Amino acid sequence: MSARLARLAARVASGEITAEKRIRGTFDRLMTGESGPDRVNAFISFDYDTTVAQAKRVDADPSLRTGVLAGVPIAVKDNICTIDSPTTCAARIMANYRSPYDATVVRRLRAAGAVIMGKTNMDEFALGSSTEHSAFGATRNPRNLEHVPGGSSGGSAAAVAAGFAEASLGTETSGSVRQPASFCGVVGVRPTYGRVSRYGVIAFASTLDQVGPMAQNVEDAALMLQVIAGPDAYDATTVDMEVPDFCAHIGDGLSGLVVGIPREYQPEGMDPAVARSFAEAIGVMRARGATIRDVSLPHTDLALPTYHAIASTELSSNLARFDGVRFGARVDAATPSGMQALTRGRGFGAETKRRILMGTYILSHDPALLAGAARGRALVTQDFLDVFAAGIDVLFTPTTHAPAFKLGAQLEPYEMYMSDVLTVSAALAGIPAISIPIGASHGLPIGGQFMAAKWAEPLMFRAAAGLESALL
Amino acid sequence: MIDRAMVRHLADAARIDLAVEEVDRIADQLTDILDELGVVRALGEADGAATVDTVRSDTMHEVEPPMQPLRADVPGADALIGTAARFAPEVRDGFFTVPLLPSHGGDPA
Repeated sequence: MSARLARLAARVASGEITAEKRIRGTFDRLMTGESGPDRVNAFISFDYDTTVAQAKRVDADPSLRTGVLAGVPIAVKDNICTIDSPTTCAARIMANYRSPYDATVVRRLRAAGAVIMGKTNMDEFALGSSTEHSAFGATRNPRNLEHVPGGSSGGSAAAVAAGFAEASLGTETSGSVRQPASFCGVVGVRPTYGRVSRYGVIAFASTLDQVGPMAQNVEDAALMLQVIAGPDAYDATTVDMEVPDFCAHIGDGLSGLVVGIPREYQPEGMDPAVARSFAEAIGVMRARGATIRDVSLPHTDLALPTYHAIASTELSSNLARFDGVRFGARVDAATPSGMQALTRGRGFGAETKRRILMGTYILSHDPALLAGAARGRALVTQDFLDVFAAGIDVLFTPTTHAPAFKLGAQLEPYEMYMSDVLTVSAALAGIPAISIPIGASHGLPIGGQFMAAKWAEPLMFRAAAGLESALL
Repeated sequence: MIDRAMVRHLADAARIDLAVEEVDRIADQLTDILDELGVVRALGEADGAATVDTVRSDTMHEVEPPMQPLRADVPGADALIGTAARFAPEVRDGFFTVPLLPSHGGDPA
């Protein structure tokens, strides 16, 4: 199962199969899966001619044909700019937007020989945990069509789970890669803040947003990250350091690793099947030679409310650029401010408006909340610095407290926000984290999460690959 | 407590036109959400500056190596301008032009 992408690329490089032939085959599967009453709706846009043209370019160019992702079909979340297709953020206000350039991550994938299959569905502007808040309709979970795929990168997770792409890119602010990966039974990675360029990624909360890969196994996810990682002159938040070989120690196993189990990550109301899979995974790691230690991250309760204060204020600033003049749709009115209000009132969905107004309120009326959020973030981050300084290599937790919920469950806003309660702390602290499948309940996947210190992705991949192979 | 008048004030500031029923719903929802954030507000109201170091734990900035890259301080062409000229419907002086607003003499859509 491991290193599937490398094998696929090697077959194109050796001439065993052309990129075009593989892409046509994958596209047929995508077309079948995305039509009829049982369609997954993983994609917002895909185009046969555009995709086949990319594959032909790979076949014709020796440097692309021998790339590490030669002829590998990849799906990309629709808030990541691509020059040859629309980029909508699943928002009505952006329905006709076309970017004049490729995002850095897309440019790097293409340079490695990858073929972009299409743009995947998401919660509008990445605001949500179910991919139901999309102007293009909800995505369904390929493991059970009556359930959500998670979100906001639900389309990217579903595309990999359904075989419409071998791997995909999602984006995370609080858990939008790991939570859908967990719900759809695939691997999802949040890299260290500053590891991957956000140039060409439509901003939600700039101190938190990261691009992360999703794949069928840990090694494939590591390879994807290898391709997209590294400093970028177009994104001053990327850090100028050499990118380590994420696969160099991926097969070293669990023996000798010190795995911390944070006691705050087993919240009341956890689904019994999740608790059982989690306990079994810990037992497997112990049996394979890992040292398991009980640890405490005492400020965990602060993470979710801290996150919402920070993210909504940054969102209200970032989305001010959608003003009816420079991007996307416009609804005319007699005055410029009237035009802006009508454009934004009709162009944004309910969740987007709610969160912009919350951010506007906090910025203009609630300075104590803003100050508290800065302190909350520092306390949550310090918890992680303390456990890693005390000799913990990686932390292990469930990714979510329950498997995928049903479509249309109509959760109240804050209930929906609780979907991120186990993933949000890593986002606040800027540390890397990965979700891998560790079990299932009634056919719905269950995910486990490893978190590591900043820049310690190699250790994180080693632990995740060790557990993955032990669970096979 | 967020009342209707506050929601209308925020919507005006954020330039978002809301229907009457949206104002009612958002007032209730924001009140509920901000209640959930009370624990963070309390942290902000407390005299925490002496005890919480918000600099050392800053997740965004690498103040020691590895650091963010700085480009060489030499003037050069904006890499996007060439792309814009090729892509935008209309370009003037290296900038996109946008459709005139009706209030400024443009045709209403």
